[in-house]
Amino acid sequence: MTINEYNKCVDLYSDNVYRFAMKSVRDEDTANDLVQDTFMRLWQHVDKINLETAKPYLFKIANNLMIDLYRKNKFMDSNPIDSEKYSYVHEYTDLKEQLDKALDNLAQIQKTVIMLRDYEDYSYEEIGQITGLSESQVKVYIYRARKNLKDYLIESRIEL
Amino acid sequence: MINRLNYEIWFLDFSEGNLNNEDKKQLFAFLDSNPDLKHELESFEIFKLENENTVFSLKDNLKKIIAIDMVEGLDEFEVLAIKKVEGEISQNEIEVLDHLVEISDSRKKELDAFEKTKLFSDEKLNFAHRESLKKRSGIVRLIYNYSASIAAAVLIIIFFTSIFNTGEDGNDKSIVSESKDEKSIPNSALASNDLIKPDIVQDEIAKNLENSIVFQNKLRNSDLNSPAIVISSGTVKNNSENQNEITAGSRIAINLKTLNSEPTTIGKRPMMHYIDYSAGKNPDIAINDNSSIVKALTPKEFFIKTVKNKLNMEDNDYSSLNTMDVVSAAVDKSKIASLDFSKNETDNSREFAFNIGSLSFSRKWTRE
Repeated sequence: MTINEYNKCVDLYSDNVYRFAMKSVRDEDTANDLVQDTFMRLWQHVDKINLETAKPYLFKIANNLMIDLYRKNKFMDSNPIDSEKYSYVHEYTDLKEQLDKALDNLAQIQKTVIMLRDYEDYSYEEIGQITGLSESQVKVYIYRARKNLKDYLIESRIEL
Repeated sequence: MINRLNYEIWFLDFSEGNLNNEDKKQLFAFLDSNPDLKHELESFEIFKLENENTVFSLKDNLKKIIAIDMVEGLDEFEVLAIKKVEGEISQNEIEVLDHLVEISDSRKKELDAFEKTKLFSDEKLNFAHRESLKKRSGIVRLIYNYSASIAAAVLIIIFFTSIFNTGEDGNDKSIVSESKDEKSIPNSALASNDLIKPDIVQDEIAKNLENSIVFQNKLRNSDLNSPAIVISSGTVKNNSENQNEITAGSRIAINLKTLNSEPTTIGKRPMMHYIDYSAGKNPDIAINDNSSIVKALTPKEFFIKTVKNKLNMEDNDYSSLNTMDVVSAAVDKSKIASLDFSKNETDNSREFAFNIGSLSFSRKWTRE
């Protein structure tokens, strides 16, 4: 990959990686650091990566960095949805806000795969390559994630 | 017991093979005593339908054939609803799903909820530092790569400049950074330096404390291949005792292949001035104006020139770079830079440490 191609990757994908990181860690500084580190890794391996494979590579790196982060910071461990916690949620009526909250309640792996699926429109196979999961595992996680999101939306009594 | 009132039931049971041997004996005995009913029993047998092998050829049309890959914890409706959201649902499955929704109001609500689980990227959420990720050639690239480090470096330079320019009276003295008070320094003065190691430097400063503000200067690491850095700023002159004296402000340059250094003073405060004497010469502190006189460089010039030498940049036009450029270059060369600050409430001391690569430069002081 040339410098120009690398810079093109920055233009094309830095926002995507940032959104992915931001939605995952919910902290602007941490998300910024993740993006910086992710692209730094790309730059370090710029001779081995081509423009076509750069995007999944970036997400793979970002995902690995986030996993490291979760391991270091137990407070960031995601909790499965607990319907007991929903009682206060009905105050929110905005679907997007609700979805964000629902997303935060997903187990981290579910959150990761569904974000890659919906935000980036990746196939199960591609998500598997990024996360190191099998295609069927990806599918199961996505299905469970959707069920959990659906349950959350219903429990939160949002206007459907 | 069979009789003329219930014989039809017995006949029916007989024709369907439901009578045991004892019952059959009763039935036959009854027929012997009632022969008029034998014909009726035969008619039962005539109307017995034979099992046919006819099959309903459209059976498959009635079935809702869907090969659902079930997911543990999800029922068929949920799997189909998610398949729809995922865009993987077949026409057959749509029909089944529609039916399941049709017969249950709660499922309609659930399906609506499923369809709302599709996440949409927030296009307003953009990475604000995109330009900082881009790579450029040469020094410009380095600046962009390490803008945060540069900022830290600049801050630390400003910090040290500030504290080193606080005079005895406690008032800040402005930095005289460029050529206003510039004096010539004889080569001999610059060349006659003893090798002073960091711990000796600290001792020298400690011995000469005359102020309430204590500065300790130490090089915590003697990686001599690290790039040089000037921490402070000022103008050098040669005093009456043939010492290099900084009259206003100070300059501190560190790293250095040989760790040669020379003491200088600001007023009564002893300071140390480190310079790099590569190859036994003094190329970093002065430029030969002629064969015998060297011109003292401003800290900026010194710093730039030193770093350029470290980077093996042949170009001697140090004026083409600014301090940020060279800090960036230095940081790039050693790959990592950081700034540490710590406070010790016990002895009221403060310490800043600026680290470039394996080289660490720190200032510790105590306000009494």
